[in-house]
Amino acid sequence: MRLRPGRAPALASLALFGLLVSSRATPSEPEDELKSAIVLSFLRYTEWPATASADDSLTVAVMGRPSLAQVLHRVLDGKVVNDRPIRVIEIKSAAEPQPVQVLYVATDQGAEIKRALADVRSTHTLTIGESGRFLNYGGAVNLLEVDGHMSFEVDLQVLAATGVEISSKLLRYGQIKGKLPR
Amino acid sequence: MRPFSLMILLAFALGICSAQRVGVPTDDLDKLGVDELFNVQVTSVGRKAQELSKAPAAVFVLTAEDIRRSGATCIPEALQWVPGLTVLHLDGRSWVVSARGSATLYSNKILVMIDGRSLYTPLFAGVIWDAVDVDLEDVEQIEVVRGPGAVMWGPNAVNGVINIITKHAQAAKGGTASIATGNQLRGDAQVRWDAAPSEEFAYRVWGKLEESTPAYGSPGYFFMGRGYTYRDPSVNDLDAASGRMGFRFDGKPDGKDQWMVEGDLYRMGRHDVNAYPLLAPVKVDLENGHTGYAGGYLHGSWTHTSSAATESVLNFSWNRDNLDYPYVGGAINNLTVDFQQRQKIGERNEFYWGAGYQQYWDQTYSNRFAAFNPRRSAYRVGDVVLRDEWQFVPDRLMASAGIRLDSNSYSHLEYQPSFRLLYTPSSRQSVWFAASRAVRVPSRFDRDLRLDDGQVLADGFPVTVSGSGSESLASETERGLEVGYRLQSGQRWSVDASTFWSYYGRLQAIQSPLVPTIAIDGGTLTLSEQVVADNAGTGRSYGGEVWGMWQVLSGWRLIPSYSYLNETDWLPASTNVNYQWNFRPLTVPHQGLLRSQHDLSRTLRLDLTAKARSRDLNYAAPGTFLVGARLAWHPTRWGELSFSVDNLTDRKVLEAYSQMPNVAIPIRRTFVLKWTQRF
Repeated sequence: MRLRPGRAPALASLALFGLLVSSRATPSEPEDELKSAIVLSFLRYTEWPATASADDSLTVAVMGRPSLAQVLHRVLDGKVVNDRPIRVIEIKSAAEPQPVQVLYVATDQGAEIKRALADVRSTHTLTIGESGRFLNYGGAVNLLEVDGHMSFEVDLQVLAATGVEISSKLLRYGQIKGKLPR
Repeated sequence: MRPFSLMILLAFALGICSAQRVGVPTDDLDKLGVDELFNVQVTSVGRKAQELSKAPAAVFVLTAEDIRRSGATCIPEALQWVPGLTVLHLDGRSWVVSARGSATLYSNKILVMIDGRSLYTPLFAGVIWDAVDVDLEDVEQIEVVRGPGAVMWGPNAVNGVINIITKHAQAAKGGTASIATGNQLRGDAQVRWDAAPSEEFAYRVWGKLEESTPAYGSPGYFFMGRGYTYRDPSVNDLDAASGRMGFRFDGKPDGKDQWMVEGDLYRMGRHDVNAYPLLAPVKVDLENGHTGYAGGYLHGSWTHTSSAATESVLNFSWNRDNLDYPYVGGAINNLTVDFQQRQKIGERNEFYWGAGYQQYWDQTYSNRFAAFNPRRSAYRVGDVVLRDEWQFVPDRLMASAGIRLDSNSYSHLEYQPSFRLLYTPSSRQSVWFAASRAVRVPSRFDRDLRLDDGQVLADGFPVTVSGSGSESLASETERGLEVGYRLQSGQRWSVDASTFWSYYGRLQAIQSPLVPTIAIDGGTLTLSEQVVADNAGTGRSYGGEVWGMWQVLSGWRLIPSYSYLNETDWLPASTNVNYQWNFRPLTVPHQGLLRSQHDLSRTLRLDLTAKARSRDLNYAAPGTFLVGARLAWHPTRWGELSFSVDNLTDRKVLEAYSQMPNVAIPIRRTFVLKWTQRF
């Protein structure tokens, strides 16, 4: 198609229209969408010890960055995994008394991480973090970037202590730290 | 008019497509299988890149992953893949790197920094690329800003800024070692060790040895000025070897403070072949020579965040380099101190201010051809930067205005203002506009150089030509307008387009008398001509760059780009002197790049590259089309074996000329086999 000069204004207004009608999503950090999708696969490939709880939902508690919580809500809310509906809740500290299946600690403040992990130590909670020292503090799974791809490291000893089991289908994509107690 | 119409069409197409793509990214990510999920390239959706995409400037980010996948063995090789940059190979060691025109061996209108420390040397205004080296594994990303950036970045950022950012010492734990070999890069070994003994402190130490042999019996070309090019039929020895070691310490003593200290020591030696002018266009003096570089730097920075609204950064750096060329040499020192503060005033206003001081001093010597007069010199410059950002409509419309004032020992007060607007109709797209003025301060080279240009035949008589700089040179100026548009559609694709128009004033040229001076020396008649630098030139350039990123499949990404440059310059007509350009820039109007990054499986990665360039207008260096490939195999998470080939079809193309007596050789096919192991 050849553009004649007379057509330019019409095209310009179309261009402007194009700009205005496009997406209105709230600003978020795009890696969070990938992290949220990974959390979803952890929910798919993890088994929690049976509890007497009447509530059969899978609860993901998130503390730290509000932007991540927003994305987790968008990706996970309304999804059902193994016939269990997923619920995302935002918490200020892990001491809030309710059983959660996954605790996502989205902060790199050492003191906050330690406190959060201490609060869920005796519960069947899969702890997921994103700080370089998350496993050192006693976390179970840490999301990290390796060679431009997302990966995770997992401490099997910590995991065994919580009674939570992650399928080998998922584990083979991560780096294993800690030996299973025999 | 035509580029503008194209832009409109493009904006239209993009706008409509994006409208249909709302909500796509999250939907398709969670439908991916586990295998695909861990294969999605994080960098395509990188956080930093997105932050930068909100900058009201033409920004491109080369990520660590891009650099690794490019198979680059040095920074300029990695920079070849930045849209809008002109990166030309000279002799396998030195490079021409520039943005938006003015491309010469030492491009004087582009500022290059590592972690905020300037590599631009006041000795001859430019970057000595063959003395710049970092372990590429240490590079977190390279941010390239095309267009004037004085207010944001520093002096001499007339046509662009290249900011190389290295990784925090915390970023990687453990060691990495790599060895590489190939036909040009004969051997390269790198080792580094990262550790974080406590939460508050982390360190990295690294070392690197390299040996290369770029010459292959190819012809060598010397541009001798006045349209005369000398050809050496066979260049056989341009071997170069270098060793370098360095460290980086990072500390975070509390939540509010952060500090970093880094430094390195290096030594480099290379063989050269140089041609000195004797009698143009008949005779040159061809000589083998040796160039040696040695030096090091120390750089410290401290960031204090007293509240979410106030952040202060203090930077200190010192570097010393000994440069020993076959014709000239010297020891140069550069010391900078710089303070910046960012303060949020109210809901919608952010104010930045900064002040800095730079002292440069050197001691030079001369062997032949070129000399500095005086031999020792010092240059001081103090600066103040003020900038304010207003959010007219929060997260929608932002305006920023700033000015940089420099007072230097050459040209005294310089002002460089900039005004920018950013309109962000949604989080995924933005339109920006900028108007700026920038200056390029004269260098020691421009002011104090004395050149022996040999003799020139004029009407059959030899005329002895000598050149000199001038202390009355003023700064070259640029006034520019830029407009840009970018769109990111979630994880799938993004497009970035920008256009610019710049007017250059007071460009450096040289003037010579209309008739040679006639003297009788010991009974013989001699003719001589004194050529002196001045500011007689003016110039204009316009053009544009457009690049995109398309995640075709979860493991396949395409990155196409195209840039156009139209560069013109003028010298005044004169009846009492001859005006000439000293060394005109290499001007390549059309450049296109295409990279394909393909994850064939979890362990195999294939990268294909294509590069097309039109003919250079000033030296008639030919246009070319080059392809390359890299295959990397990760047998384990911790190791990588890669094989890369550049210039697959073995096109022997001369890409650039040097304005110094250094040789330029054509490129050839090169390959590198590399093993990287973490431990």
